Amino acid sequence: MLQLDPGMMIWTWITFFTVLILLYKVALKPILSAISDREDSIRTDIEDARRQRDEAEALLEKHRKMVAEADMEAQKMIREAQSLAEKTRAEIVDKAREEATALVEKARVEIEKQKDDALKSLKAEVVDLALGAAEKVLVQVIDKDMNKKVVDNYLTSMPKSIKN
Amino acid sequence: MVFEQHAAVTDTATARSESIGGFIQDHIGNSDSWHLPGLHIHLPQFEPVQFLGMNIDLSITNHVVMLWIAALFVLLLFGLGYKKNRKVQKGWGIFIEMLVLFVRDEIAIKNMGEKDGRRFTPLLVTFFIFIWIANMMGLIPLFTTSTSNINVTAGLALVTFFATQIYGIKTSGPVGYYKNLVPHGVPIFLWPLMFLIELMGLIAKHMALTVRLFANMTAGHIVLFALLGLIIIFKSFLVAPVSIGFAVFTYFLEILVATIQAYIFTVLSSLFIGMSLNPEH
Repeated sequence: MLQLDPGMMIWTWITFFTVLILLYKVALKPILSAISDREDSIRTDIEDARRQRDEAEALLEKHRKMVAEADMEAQKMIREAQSLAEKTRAEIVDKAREEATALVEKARVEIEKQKDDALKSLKAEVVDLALGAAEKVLVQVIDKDMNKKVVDNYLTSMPKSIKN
Repeated sequence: MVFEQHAAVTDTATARSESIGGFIQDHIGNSDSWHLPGLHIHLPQFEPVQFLGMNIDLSITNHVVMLWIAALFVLLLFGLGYKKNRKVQKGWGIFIEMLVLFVRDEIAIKNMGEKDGRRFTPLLVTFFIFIWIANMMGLIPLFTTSTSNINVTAGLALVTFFATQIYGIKTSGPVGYYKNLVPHGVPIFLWPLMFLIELMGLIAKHMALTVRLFANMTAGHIVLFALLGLIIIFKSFLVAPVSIGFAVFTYFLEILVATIQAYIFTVLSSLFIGMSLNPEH
């Protein structure tokens, strides 16, 4: 059982090395290269995924900032527009008020003038009417020139305030 | 009638060999023939060759045939099981890939480091699968265990031994390699003694590797045959259930031992080669 048998040892070597070489050629080389290829591809995939995630995060951050900026811009524009509108409204209202005042003033001046004219013509009319009436009354009594002198004297002696 | 049956069993055993001891010897030892049912194959024998004072007998013995069968089985398993053009394996391919990955990551790279581990993975995978299949063959009827022959285990351990020496000398140079056998910091007057001890240790390590595998594989078979032999020794069928129960238990234990010993041989080989490559570890 324990005797040394170099022949058996040599057969063991021959068999073992044949298996080693053939197994390496047939199976182990492709298996090991396939395994390490797969590991490499997994590693690069993970790295790619991590890098892409970082990129996406950066992009998201950028976009978020851009949206915030745009929002602020819009708010500013709205505020500007509002203030502009307010100013324009005030201007328009002021102008309208001024115009209205001017129109009222003009109307009053016109009215005043019309009243003056009316009074003047009324006064002349009244004089004529009075004269006519007095003439009708006094035509038989005194001549016309005498009467006129009397009335004129009366009129001029009237207080100034009644004139208008 | 019972007696007659006893006599028949004893006669068959006696016809095969003189005693139970001889029967067991006959079964675990090497022989020049292979017994198959109804077929008695006489294997070719050659005259021993004298070489360097050694009697080298290159006869094809039973164990040589078993080694060849193991080799053929390993090659067929890997050659047919693994489909190269398939990126994701199926069936045996998964098992083979798992085995190779296990040996690479858990044995080679763990004990030898990343770079050397990858370099020696093919050797270690071959060690593991070849020894495992050779061990397991003894558990199949009609086949014998070639690894229960000390010459086979010695041959395998010598592969490890030469690997340690050749790759150790390759990396550190012949002087550096043998100088590194002695740990650093040993007083100079103790150095020759330590060198001798380390040299003996180096040989003892590989002797232990040889004997461990051989003894484990032999012992299981001796126990199996001894348990079955009890039936004949006691000349009673009443012993049979006990014997067979224990034999079946031993058989399953043997499956475990066959796997563990293949694993241990591979791990120790990787450790020895790793140590010779990185002496400072």
